[in-house]
Amino acid sequence: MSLRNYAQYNSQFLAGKEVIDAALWDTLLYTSAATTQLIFFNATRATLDLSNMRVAGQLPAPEQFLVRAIRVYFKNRPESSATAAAGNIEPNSVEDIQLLIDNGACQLNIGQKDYGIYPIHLIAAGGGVAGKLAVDNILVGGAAVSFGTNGRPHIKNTFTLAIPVLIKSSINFNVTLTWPAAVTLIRNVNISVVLDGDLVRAIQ
Amino acid sequence: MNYQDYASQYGGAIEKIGGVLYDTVAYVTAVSLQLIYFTVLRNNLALSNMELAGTLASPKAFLIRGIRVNIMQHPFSSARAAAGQVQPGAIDNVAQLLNTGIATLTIGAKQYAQFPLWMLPAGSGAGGVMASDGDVADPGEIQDHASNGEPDVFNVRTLSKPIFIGPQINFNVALTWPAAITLAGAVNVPIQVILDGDLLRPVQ
Repeated sequence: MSLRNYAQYNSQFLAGKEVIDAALWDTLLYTSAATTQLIFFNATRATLDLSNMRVAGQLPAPEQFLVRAIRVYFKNRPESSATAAAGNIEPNSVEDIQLLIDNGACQLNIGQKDYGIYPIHLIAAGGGVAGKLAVDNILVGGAAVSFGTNGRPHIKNTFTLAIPVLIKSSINFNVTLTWPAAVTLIRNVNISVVLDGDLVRAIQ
Repeated sequence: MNYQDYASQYGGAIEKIGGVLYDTVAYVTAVSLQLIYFTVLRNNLALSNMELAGTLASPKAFLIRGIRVNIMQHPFSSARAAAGQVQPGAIDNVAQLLNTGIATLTIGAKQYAQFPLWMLPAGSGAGGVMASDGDVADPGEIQDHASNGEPDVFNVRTLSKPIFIGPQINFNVALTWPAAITLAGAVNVPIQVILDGDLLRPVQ
């Protein structure tokens, strides 16, 4: 059989491509008082809740991805804590988020080049839990319950790139979160980075 | 005989209206790993408006413009956790469900959308304020409420490329978690998936 004839058995319909709304995500653990750098998308993970990358560090051909927005989501949970004495910083779930986003930077790298460096506080999650909370307790010295999010959990609160960026097939890419010094949290937290945009894939 | 003279569908024409398809399944505490939507008739409009299981009756078709996931968490009262511990309650329920849950839309034999649940806000739900009186002895109680994102009609993920479901094509949405989640008070929580868009139907 000639090479040309193989086309009639193509698993990709008419060699065509389609575009769908999609996201690429990856998740890593920030370890309190230890982590200074997290590199996302450079490995595959065991479960879908952690990542949907099928190849480490790149998209398999013929897939491509147009990055329209970047999001950073903290997978935290509400915390109970004793209140700090007046005049002191209150260590709680909100303070954990503030420490991480005010002291960190987010960098999108494609090939050998960076395509944007931002303070993490600019890269809101744009989603998550919207909560209301009350505490009923007569404890002397006080008790508090807290829950923090990376910005308002509203989809319009998403950092949309002024100029979208296309990641071609088989091109290395990653997102790196860095902190100049490790921050001390009340609890380690999983952080998800999401690239939000359009996936180009084969028609099958 | 000309059967068209007796047609129940006027001129064979199709009209378009704004519409939604919705289905509701309860998350069973400490058990559920996967919930499948739109594949079973509920016979209860509070739960679902599907007229057939897993497909649209010809000539009906649907253009999906947005996907919503509504976690129908009610306000909850819980004992306050000891300081330094995760605080169970409504916020923690929704946080856990969002932190590891993934939604996958399948049409025919192919996946057409896959997102973490926190990226698919409900865009609806109860608003409100809460207060508590502070007379419960230590460790006290907390009262909380939570939703998947802010309950705002503009807080909806609109697909960058709408997706068309033709008549009699199988489709479903699956919500999956890598491990079962224990909800506060061991109370199950209904979760509704809504496909938001345009319904095509016969002119009659």
